[in-house]
Amino acid sequence: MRSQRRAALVAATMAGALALTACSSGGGSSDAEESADLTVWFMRNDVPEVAQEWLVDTWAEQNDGAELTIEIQDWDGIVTRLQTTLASPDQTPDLVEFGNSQVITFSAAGALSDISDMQEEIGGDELVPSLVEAGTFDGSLYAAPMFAGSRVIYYRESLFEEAGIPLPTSIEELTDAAIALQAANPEGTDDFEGMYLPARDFGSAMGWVFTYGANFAEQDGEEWVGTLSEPEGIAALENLQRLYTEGTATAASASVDESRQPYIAYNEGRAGMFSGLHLMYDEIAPELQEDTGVMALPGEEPGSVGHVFAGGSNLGIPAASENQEYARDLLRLTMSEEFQTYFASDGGWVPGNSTYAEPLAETEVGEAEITAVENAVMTPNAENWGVVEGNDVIRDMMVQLAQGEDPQTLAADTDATVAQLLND
Amino acid sequence: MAGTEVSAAAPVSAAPPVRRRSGRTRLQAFYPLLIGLPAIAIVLVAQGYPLVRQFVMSFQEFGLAQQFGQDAPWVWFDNYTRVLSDADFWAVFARSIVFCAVVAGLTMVIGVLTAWLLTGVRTWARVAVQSAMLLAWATPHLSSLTVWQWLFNPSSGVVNAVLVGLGLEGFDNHAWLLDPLSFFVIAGAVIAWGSVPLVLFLTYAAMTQVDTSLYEAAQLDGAGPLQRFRHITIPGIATVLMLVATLQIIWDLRVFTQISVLQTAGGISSETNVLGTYVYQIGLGQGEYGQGAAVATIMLLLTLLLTGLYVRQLVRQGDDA
Repeated sequence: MRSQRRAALVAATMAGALALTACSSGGGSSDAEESADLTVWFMRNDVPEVAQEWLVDTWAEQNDGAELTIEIQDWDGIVTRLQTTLASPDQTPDLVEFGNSQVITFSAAGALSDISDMQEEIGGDELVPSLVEAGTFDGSLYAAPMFAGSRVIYYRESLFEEAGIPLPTSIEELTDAAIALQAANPEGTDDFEGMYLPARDFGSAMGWVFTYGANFAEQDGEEWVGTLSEPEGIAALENLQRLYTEGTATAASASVDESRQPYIAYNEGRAGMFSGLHLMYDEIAPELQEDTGVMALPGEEPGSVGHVFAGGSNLGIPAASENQEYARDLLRLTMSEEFQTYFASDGGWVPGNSTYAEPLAETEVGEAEITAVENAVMTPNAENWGVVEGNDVIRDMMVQLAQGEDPQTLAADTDATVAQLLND
Repeated sequence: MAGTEVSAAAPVSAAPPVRRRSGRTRLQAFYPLLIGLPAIAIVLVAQGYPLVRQFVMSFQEFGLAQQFGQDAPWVWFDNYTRVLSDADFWAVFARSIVFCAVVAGLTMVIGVLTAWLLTGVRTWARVAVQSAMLLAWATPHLSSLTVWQWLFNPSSGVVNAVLVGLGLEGFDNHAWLLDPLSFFVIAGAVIAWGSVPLVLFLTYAAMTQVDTSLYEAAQLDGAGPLQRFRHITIPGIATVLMLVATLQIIWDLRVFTQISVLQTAGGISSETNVLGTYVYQIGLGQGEYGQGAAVATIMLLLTLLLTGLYVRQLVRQGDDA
């Protein structure tokens, strides 16, 4: 019987070992000399191929063949990845791209080097203001404006014509048009929806909140207060809910992955409109491109332009990088005319230094994009805003809104959660 | 398996002391330790450091600023008080316990019954089932999750298509993951699907070791198949059952991947968090490492408690048999 007893103990030890779980964080530093072999993190689909090649080649030319390694990261889970890597001198890249709404979290935590003294040199007054604001904490600049971009509305011209629906000129009319288009279903497509607008795409949904003049929080002295349940916020949520429940079919159910590829439903003829980034124009099926019109999100008054979420990225130098001087050189290079112009010519983004935006205005999409960016609004510039997004607070609320839950209650709950997270 | 015991330490007391032999046997006594040493070292290095770190951190104020080099002040039980006085935590806690009990229970029942079934079928059928099970077991979580998401996709999933085909029009575009209850039904099914095979293999192997003469004797006494299962098979494999059940409970209590993936596929995270995803959300999502460590420590204590109860029962059973 002792064998059984021993087997039991071995089993218990095994179970114990398997039960333990934890994550470790690396540490340690060395006093190595600065090296010109740098690593930079860019986010997927943001920096055009040609621009990357130019950067690597130019860096090598200017630094005796030094090697610049570009690592492309995915947006999914990037905040948590940055939290762990940026703290470690062994793992940190030397220059990092941040989503503009995430960068303040890292500036405030002391993860980035102060680059205020470079502000004039990299563009000064020509830098996109919302990105300068995003990169600033406590009066100092921690991350340079890289590029801006915003969502626009794509629509099928022929469907609007066939159904006899005029193009919307205000945000109310946009909802009406989506509902009318869904009811008309001019081509008799199965599962047709007026607009493909997944609630999980909260970046698009923010456009409704901002257009009605609302935002998620404002600062009252030292404290942050949630502001979504003010009348403007409720009006935005009510319109959005009408759109979700009557002008779309899949708003509540589409997954995060699906919400990233809104053009798929559109390309299959299942949607009359969709909201997306300018670069999604290239994803539209060739046979539909001809029939596709683009507009900036319309505003409250007929003929006005709405306020979409100001998308964009900033570039920062991690404080833990051992190659501070070289990293500053590299930052200068990314803010140079040549690199910045690539965003407008090949990336289709509004460059962080707006002097170089010219090539963008030549296309219809680019024009809508510039209009959208000019009127774009930022999420609250609070230290913990990244936490609000990282915890799916806005995303969950939009899904519940699409499920038909009461906007007043949702707004009040969200205000409470946002205030708690921002003041934490 | 009475009397099959061969203890490595036995010869020391049994054999007459001859100098050369006693040297060898003393060495032999260390064999188990030597064999175990690398494993122990790995556990200490891989689990020990993070565990200590987690424990220490749970008593500190440790947020993003501390992660980037600021001092971490001691706050002693503050993190625990905050966590334990948070209604969200208790909701997650209760949800995890119920979910774990149901899924682990189901996994055991299905696994053991299938294994028992296999003892009575022809070889080809047994091999076919075992191969299928092996494949299910070997499929990486993320791959199988993708398939399960396809099955339950609201607009293009097979499940909705079949239900609508059967005349249940209400399931057209039905989003399974949105409702927390059906979310957990699917999550439970995915997890059980992935863990039934191991239960089956282990219990089947144990069943084949049960002395067949016992069955013959029972049959002569007029015991039916169910009675034989109840009175011979189950007691015969009790040790293995205990071990497998303990592992199931531990695994299902700290499940992470399946829940996390299904949350991005359509579940609302605030309504579907379990302890594993909750620790991740607090610790990494909110950058509150101290509080996250406190939740993780509570989770660890819970696991140790459960494991302890089982081990005690296991050891006691070993003595009785």
